[in-house]
Amino acid sequence: MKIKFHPIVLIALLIFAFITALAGEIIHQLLFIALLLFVSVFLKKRKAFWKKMATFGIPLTVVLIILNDVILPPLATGHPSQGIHYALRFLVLLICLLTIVHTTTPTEFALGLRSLRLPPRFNHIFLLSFEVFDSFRTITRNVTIAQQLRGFRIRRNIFNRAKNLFPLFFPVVFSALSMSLDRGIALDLKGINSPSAKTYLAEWKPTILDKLTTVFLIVCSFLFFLFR
Amino acid sequence: MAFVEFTNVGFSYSHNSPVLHSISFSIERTEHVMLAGTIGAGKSTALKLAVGLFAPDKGSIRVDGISPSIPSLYEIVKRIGVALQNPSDQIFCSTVREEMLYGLRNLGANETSDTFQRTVALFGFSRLLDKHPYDLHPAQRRLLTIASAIAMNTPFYIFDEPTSGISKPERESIVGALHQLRIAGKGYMLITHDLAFGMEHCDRILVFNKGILAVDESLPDFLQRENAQGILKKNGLQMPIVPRMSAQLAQNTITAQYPDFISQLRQQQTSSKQAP
Amino acid sequence: MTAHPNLLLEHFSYTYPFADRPAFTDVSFELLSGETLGIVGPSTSGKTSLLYAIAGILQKHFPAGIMSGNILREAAKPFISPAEIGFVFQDQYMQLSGATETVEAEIAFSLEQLGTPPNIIRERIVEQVSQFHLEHLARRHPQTLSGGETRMLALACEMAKHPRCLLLDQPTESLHPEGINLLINALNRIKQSAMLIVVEHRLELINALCDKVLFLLNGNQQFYGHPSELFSSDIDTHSLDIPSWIDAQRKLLGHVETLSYRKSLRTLQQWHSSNLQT
Repeated sequence: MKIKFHPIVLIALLIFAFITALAGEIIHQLLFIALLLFVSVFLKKRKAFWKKMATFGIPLTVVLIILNDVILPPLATGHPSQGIHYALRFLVLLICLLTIVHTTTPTEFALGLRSLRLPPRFNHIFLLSFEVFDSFRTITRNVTIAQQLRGFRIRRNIFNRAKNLFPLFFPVVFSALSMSLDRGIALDLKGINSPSAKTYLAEWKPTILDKLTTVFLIVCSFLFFLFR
Repeated sequence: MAFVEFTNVGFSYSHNSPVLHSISFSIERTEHVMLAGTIGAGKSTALKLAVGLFAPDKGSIRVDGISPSIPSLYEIVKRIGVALQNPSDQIFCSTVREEMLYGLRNLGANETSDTFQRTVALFGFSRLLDKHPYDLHPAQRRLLTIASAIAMNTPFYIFDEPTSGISKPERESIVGALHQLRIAGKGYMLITHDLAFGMEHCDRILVFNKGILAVDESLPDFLQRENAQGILKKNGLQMPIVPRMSAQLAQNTITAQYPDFISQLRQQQTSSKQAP
Repeated sequence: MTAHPNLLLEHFSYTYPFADRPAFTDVSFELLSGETLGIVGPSTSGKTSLLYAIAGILQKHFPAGIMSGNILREAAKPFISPAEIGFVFQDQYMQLSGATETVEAEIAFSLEQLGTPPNIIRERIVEQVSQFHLEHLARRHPQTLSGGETRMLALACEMAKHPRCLLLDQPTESLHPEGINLLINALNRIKQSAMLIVVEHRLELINALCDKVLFLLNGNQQFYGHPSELFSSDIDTHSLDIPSWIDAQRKLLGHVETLSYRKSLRTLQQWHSSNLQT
């Protein structure tokens, strides 16, 4: 079974996750995490989801707990366990992002947004922000290959690897941004800012269920925010 | 034993579409080889297999007796300098100088190294050394990737599409560099669909067609063949104008189609012979 | 057709913000619809910047640069609208919108943005797919294509707009010979109804396509005229690639300065362009 949410549901979900993480009680956060973990069982890419959780999500959560409860001095937040408090916030956001990333692709997301007939500026910004992350990933991968081809020994040790990737950070960000700038010019020439009415060969309109879920999530976030 | 040796190599990115089928060839350390073929023939894949970025599905590859793989990559790149097809994928330092020194430093040399100075002079980069590579023109960036590979001073080089998108000054730099490599007794392989360039600077031709090695011959022998043009055409390539015309002149086949033209050429030939 | 040119540049110069020298200076040429202009010159001589200026990109995205001289377009609008202009970038990957899942949808993307009626969009997709032999790729994701295939897609996308002015920045880069032939045929088809400007290193292509050629060196206009005169004029062309037919002649005959040089050049040129097309 493939779960496919319209982008507006995903955006509403993200807002809801933020509110839950920042304003919710531990019980809300636990419920939220349980709900999304339940959903993740039905994801098509659930393997990738769990791989990222195992390699990245769970270790970081553990580190957060240890850092706050064992190493750092306690703050006067009134929570029984400060580590768990922070770890839960982190988990809520992470699981929500992972769910979003694994239910949609940038192109699907863009198609869905386009079908909402938002002003062209919005689409432009969304497309470009996808570009930045996409090119960021591609460039890092290509550069790692290029470094190896010029005698950099990747398996020597992990610190060496980190040391070599660090100076890369700025050039990579820089070139990702400059690529997006060029991409912006290309999109402009494709008429994305054109004032005329657009045609839609393929559309992905939100279904009634999508709309209901969105409204539900937005109302919930609103209530959470008001009655925290 | 040959320097680069492919024995019955097969490779595919996904299960249903093999890129290479049972390719076998061997190249000596001092040979100058061109690898031609249309898009999707498996040329760049062969390069990635030769250095060990991918492992072959079947068959074996040996570079100077080593089997190339990710763990042995360091040993391979000490022997083969590589410039990939897309310059923006392989430039990552903040100045031209750093970029060219990167490989050298990993191999344990530094800025005073003789090869670095010579490569800078060879490519005329002395003015550009402190520039950011992203400020260079795409054509100069391609030159920089080739220069960075040559600066590593390895015995053999593989360049993927070295002449794509460059103008004459850069082309001349590359020609100069290839010439120097030849003098220094180093080998290289050019992966290119610019046949005119490849034929001028190589002694042996390999042609891939849809993952099969269609031609493997010394260039003079290949050009002597009567149907050389037909063989290239069958593999989706076009014979460059110089060898094509000289073949047609030799066979007199140009006369039938272009009587006017051939008589002019003949006249010029005789007058040029008389002139000196 | 009107007698006055559809595009006219008079002593046109541009300097990028913060640059220490102009990208190009004192460029003048005129172009009618149905004509093709080739721009040649070594790298970093300002060819791409000139294309950007013609497309209105410099004026819109780098307005802080210094501009002098005149640029007149037929409609006298400050910027050419995206519907009228096609621009093929040197880096073909820039050209993908990143918002589509198939090659067909990518061709449609720009037309959808411009509000072209759906039935016309479908016609144009069929037209471009067959023109560039993209049938076997039509359902593929644009980001899984090879460099040459992406180039073909970029060309198809821009030509699908049926632009009145098509600007191409080194369109043959990473194309195989077959692809170059498809490109030449496509350009020959579109050139009746449009103005074409091609930046290219391969002079064979310039000769096969262009009515006029402009030679830029370090931002300065060195030559503007008919392509066949470029090499017979006394300007210094050593920074240009020698076209293969002249190269052949030099290599085969040893020298070029003979009486019948011009005539054999023309014959060779014809021979070459007919060879390119078959």
